[in-house]
Amino acid sequence: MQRFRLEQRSQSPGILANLTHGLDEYSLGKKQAEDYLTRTLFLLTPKPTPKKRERMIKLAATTLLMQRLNCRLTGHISTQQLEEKFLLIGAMIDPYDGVLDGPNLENSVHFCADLFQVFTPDRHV
Amino acid sequence: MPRTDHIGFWKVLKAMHVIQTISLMQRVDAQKQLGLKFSAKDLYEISTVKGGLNAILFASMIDTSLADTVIDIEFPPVLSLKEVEQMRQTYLTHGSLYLRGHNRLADAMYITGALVQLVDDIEDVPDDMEEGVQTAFTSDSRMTLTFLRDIPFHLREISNQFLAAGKSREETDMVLLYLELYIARKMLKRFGKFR
Repeated sequence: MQRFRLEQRSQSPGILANLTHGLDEYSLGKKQAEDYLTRTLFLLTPKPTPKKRERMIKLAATTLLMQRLNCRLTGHISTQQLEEKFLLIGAMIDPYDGVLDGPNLENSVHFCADLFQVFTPDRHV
Repeated sequence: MPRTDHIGFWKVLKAMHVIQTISLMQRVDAQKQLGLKFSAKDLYEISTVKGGLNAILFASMIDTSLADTVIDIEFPPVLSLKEVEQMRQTYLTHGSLYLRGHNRLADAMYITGALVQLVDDIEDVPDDMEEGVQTAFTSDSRMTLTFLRDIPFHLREISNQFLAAGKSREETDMVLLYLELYIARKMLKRFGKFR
């Protein structure tokens, strides 16, 4: 089972891209996006409990929040916008708990590796 | 060119991601896979750095000069558990992600963030034990009592650091008040209910 999941993952464009795509649709309110997101999250958590599932969705939000934060940092940060930035950062940091205690160590390492790409200077996010 | 416009902020965010990645080594299965067993001191250090950098991350949004206290990091081209442990040794055992003594306000923020994370660890002990995550407080039961006993000293150190950074007594007292309320709330959640 473990091997199957890893093979399945290697054929995908990457957890980061998958989650972002799923969450983009999710934020647009498309109903099927939730199924898409659940299928993608299966790579990280095969049988999520409701609590775990909620955490995994928050984890997915990390990727999108990072990108949004990146976009919003292109301009000058005004005092008025600061609170929103704080909320974004807080929302981004919190889901790491889901990575830390996720049931599959290898997938958690993969996720961290994928997230490293966000910080690679020559990679356009 | 977002990252070049906000180099300091991204640098802290990178360091934050590194320490979060390193914290994977808090997992019992991760240590077992590499044949390691961390001491309470090792685990204490992970929490300290995680909390400290978290505080610097938020503070650097207001004062970008605070980011100068955090080192810039080159990511490994490939990441496996072995590299994660290598990063832990490089940035926690032999080196540091945070440069103490360069900015007094940053130092005050850093030790405040560290205290917040350690208190959070105490609250999470039951969950962490159930989920196979180790902190200083799950690995050594005496650590909780020692830490709680030392809280007045930690608060005094924080107070001294903020005052040394040029903050007024009123501002410093406000920080301490919020910290005390936070600690009280967390301890009530940890010890004030049946599980």
